[in-house]
Amino acid sequence: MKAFVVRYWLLQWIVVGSTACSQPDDTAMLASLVEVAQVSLDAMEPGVQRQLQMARTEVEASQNAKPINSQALGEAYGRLGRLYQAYELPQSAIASYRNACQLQPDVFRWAYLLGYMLYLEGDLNHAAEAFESALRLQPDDPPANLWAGHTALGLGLTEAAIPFFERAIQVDTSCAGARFGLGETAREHGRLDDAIAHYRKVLEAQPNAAKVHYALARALQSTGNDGEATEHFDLASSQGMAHGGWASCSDPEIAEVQVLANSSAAALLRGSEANLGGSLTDEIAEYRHAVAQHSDDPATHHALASALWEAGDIEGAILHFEQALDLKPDDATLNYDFGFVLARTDNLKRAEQFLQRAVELHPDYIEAHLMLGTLYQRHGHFEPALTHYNRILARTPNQLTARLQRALTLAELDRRSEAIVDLQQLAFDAPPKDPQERLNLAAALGMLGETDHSSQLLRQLARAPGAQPSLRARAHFNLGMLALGQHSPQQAIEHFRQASQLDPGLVQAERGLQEAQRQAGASEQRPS
Amino acid sequence: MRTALLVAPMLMLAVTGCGSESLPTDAASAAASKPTVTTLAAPAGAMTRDPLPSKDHWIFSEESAASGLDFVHVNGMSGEYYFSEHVGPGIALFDYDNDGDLDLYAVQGGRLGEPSPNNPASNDVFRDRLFRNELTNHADGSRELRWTDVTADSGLDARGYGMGVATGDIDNDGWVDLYLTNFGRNQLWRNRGDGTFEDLSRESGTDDPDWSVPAVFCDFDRDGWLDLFVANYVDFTLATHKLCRQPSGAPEYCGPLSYEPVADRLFRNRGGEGAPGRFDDISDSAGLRSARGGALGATVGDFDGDGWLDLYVANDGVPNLMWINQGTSADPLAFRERAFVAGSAVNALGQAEASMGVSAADFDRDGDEDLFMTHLNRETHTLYRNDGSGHFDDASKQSGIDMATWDATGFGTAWLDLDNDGWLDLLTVNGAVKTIPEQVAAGDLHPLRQPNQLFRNLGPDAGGRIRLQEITERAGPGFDAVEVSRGAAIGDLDNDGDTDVVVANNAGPLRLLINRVGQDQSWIGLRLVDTDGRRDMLGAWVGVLLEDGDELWRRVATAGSYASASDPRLLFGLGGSLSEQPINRVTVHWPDGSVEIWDGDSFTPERYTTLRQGGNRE
Repeated sequence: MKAFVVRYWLLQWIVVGSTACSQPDDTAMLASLVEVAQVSLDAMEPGVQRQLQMARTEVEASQNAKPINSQALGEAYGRLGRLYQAYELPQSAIASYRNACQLQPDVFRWAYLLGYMLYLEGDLNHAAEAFESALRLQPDDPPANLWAGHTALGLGLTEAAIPFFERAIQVDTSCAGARFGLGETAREHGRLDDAIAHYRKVLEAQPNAAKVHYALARALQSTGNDGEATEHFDLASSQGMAHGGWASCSDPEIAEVQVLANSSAAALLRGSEANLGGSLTDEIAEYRHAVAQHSDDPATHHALASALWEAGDIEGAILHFEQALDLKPDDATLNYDFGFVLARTDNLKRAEQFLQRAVELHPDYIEAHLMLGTLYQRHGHFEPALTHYNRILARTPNQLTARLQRALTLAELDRRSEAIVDLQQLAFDAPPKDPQERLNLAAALGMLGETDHSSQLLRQLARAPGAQPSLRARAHFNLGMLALGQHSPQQAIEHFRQASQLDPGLVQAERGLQEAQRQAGASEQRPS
Repeated sequence: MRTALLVAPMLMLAVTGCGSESLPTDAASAAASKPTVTTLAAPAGAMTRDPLPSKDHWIFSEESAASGLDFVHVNGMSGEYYFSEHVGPGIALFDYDNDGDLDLYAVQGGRLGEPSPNNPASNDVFRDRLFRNELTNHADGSRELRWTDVTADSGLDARGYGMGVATGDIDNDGWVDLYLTNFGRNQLWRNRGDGTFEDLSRESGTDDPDWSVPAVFCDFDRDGWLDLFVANYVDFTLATHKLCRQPSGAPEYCGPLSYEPVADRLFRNRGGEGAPGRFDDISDSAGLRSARGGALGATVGDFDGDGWLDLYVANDGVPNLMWINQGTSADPLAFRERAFVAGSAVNALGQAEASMGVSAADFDRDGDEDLFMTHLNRETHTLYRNDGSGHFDDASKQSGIDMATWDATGFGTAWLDLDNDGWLDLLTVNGAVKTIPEQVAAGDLHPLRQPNQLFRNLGPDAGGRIRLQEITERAGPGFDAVEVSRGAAIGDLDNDGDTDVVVANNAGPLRLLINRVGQDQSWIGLRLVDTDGRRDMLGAWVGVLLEDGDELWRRVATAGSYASASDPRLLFGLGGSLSEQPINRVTVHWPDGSVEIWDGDSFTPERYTTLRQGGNRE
């Protein structure tokens, strides 16, 4: 089979032979169609059931028509295939597209979608045939060229892939996916400089494409450029390798299929994808659509509430949290999320109510205990705060935030020495390796009056080679605060200045500097 | 849960957003800290040779029922689609009574949540079970396996919702102990040596309450006591259960990204301080809290070849972690995460995959440890090939494993030399985590079934690339049962010199697969023990130099695969006729860093030999 494909592609379709979409013989039409697996509709949303049932009925009606109109039947199978694809039922989608192709060999859409689904299902040889049919109908279609190229790469036909990628870019210069494909072909041939150049171009167009950062990092690493490779490894890692991050191209056929799914679950998925793509507006629009269609689904209200909160629409967020909780009052996460939002908006009594409900439902809910502890601590209710921190530490003794907050709470309860012993033990026996956590520990020690130990840790962080400038800035800021507390305004000025230089966005450092300068001025004016 | 809503409260002040070398037969070789790396020439016709020595019989016979292994896993599914339902179980093979054959520990699930019409049974009826191996060697040379359920007599009372199991001798008394990972608190059971176990969960300090799946015993700090790594999954509880849906709205199991990942834990055995079997949680100080993912797989190896044992953690849906032991005598437990830079965090496309099982082995016989991971369908399983310096390349495509595993969602996996030809073959056991529409339509109540797979290592082709060829069709009737497989453990259950397999199925029976082809070629078996001759030396790296210049390397390890524990003994297939003795020497890199070498003449083919650290060969 592979040899067949190689030969075929090398001929560049000069030979017109048997393909996935060949002209059907009228008499053998029905016999030549493949069976489409009838997936169960029982558990699907009623709207989806109706949608799929209608499409199936349309196929049946076309099949039962006398005489059979092959064009109408092909259309019906194609429409059914698109629905199956939209609802992620790939085997049924493929069978439907096969029939659509058989009946309408001159329709680009069916051949392309068949190839796309076969590619996703790993049937690369048949995907190659389908793309070949599609490209015979529309040779310049960028997505078809793009996926034909990727199919060739998947089959190990690196050379054959190149013209497809090049054609896609010629037609759609913004098709970063094809540029990435060229990078991959260059890398496979050991032309690392070419690969690096292609990857860099992709990143110019799509700077957040995590997987391209990764490919670039690997190529740079292979050329010995470890420094820049590390930068791109970090960028790849920080941008989340789990989701997306691919170099993409505009694909109207696939976009049309995706919007066919009109279930709330599909809308939630699309909203989630919009979130990962960084588009809060699209995300909210999807969730609003889902809520409008499925107002009795707590998950849609929950998702919309969270997105509205992120967008700063507090009123809207609260409204949808309330609606979600009306529908599902015993959901621990929902109670916690609403409690969090209420706490952050100083709605403290209500926040306490929902956070308490969250820990009732889920007694080991660390975030909820932490939030409750912080709430109580902030409002001077130190005993209940301590209870929540202890609850966390009983389960996870090394939860650093809880341990630090517990120490500060103990200090408020006149148990400072106990707090100091605990933090010193932490600092000596199991010092956190993470610089941010060390900074927190140093800050807590400073707040407990352990200034020597705190300063020592902060100085280490401020000088740490390779530490991020923002972290070093915060270490200097805290050193400045300690110096202010020790009435050493000149030292404080120095630290605040360094903090501002390292992180110009750190507004607290500017305020600290003003306070230190004020103190320094006052001390100069003070009579001896 | 949106991460935007998971910002922890901030502090108010801070603006924080083995022994000495001995008996070297070749002093120069013994002094070398690294194993010899042999570059293989491609054998002519390697790619066209017959897949196995004989086509006359199956590779495995399935013998669970015939041998009395009557365990059936219960996952408690009630229609609620609880995430934890389909994650277990693992399985363990270990010699709990020191009678020289492998016994079996089966992990049970149970009911989840309150009794319901779908699931009325009391959880008291569900418990893990220990089966004693009553192996009989008949006069005609045949062997007969029988199992006796000794759970009640053993004192083992594991009624948690079980996930996996790890084995190791925590107190150096020569009796193998058990660590059980649960959806709930984990348990540590100490083997008293009289056929019974005592529950040391709380006293030991290892009763991790998080949802753990795999665990690994190894002596990471070289102090002569086994430490314990526990890999945790995600922060799912029945109280935080979400019902996920397919795009059609049909109910579906959630994926790992629906919940927050939980940090893994490293426990240091305080045996060196006179408190064997008592552990300190040193996850923070060892640096392991600097990264996390929902972990489902874990294994140990020396991936950068510096002689210190490292950890590899396979995460579900996020990049994997490679914890490189920075080991120095001053700070023997300091790990640094290096997976990205090493090329083993994500696949060749830069895609983080849903890693489940993991197995480390020198599959290409170049003297270093490579990695294989099982994944979700459409991702393909992934083979990472070590270049010898701790850098890995994704060799899935080159090996042919990528498209062969496209449809499979894999869990347990193991490298095993099926036919004792010296090349490590590969087993993967599969089962979906998302319902399969065609099985739903067919009315299957557990519509996650997928066939297991077996691959043969064909050795290098003319271009030096190692190819793996699927040979499932020759595996035997045990592979016909399409089930929801999770754990897989390997070991020589009938002590006949080849590798057998036990597969643990979710909501299904155990499958006992007895190897019927390996014993036809020459082999040696090794057991590596400490200076007292008691404890298996988990982590030892053993090379067998053949007379033709090839060197086979294997690591003593019980962990790996998926939530399971395998035979600590090593089997080396020698590839020739029975009684042939083509061994030049055996090199052992002990976990404490020391190296010993034994002359090849010391070994008898088709026999197990015990190698004691310090050179006292038994």
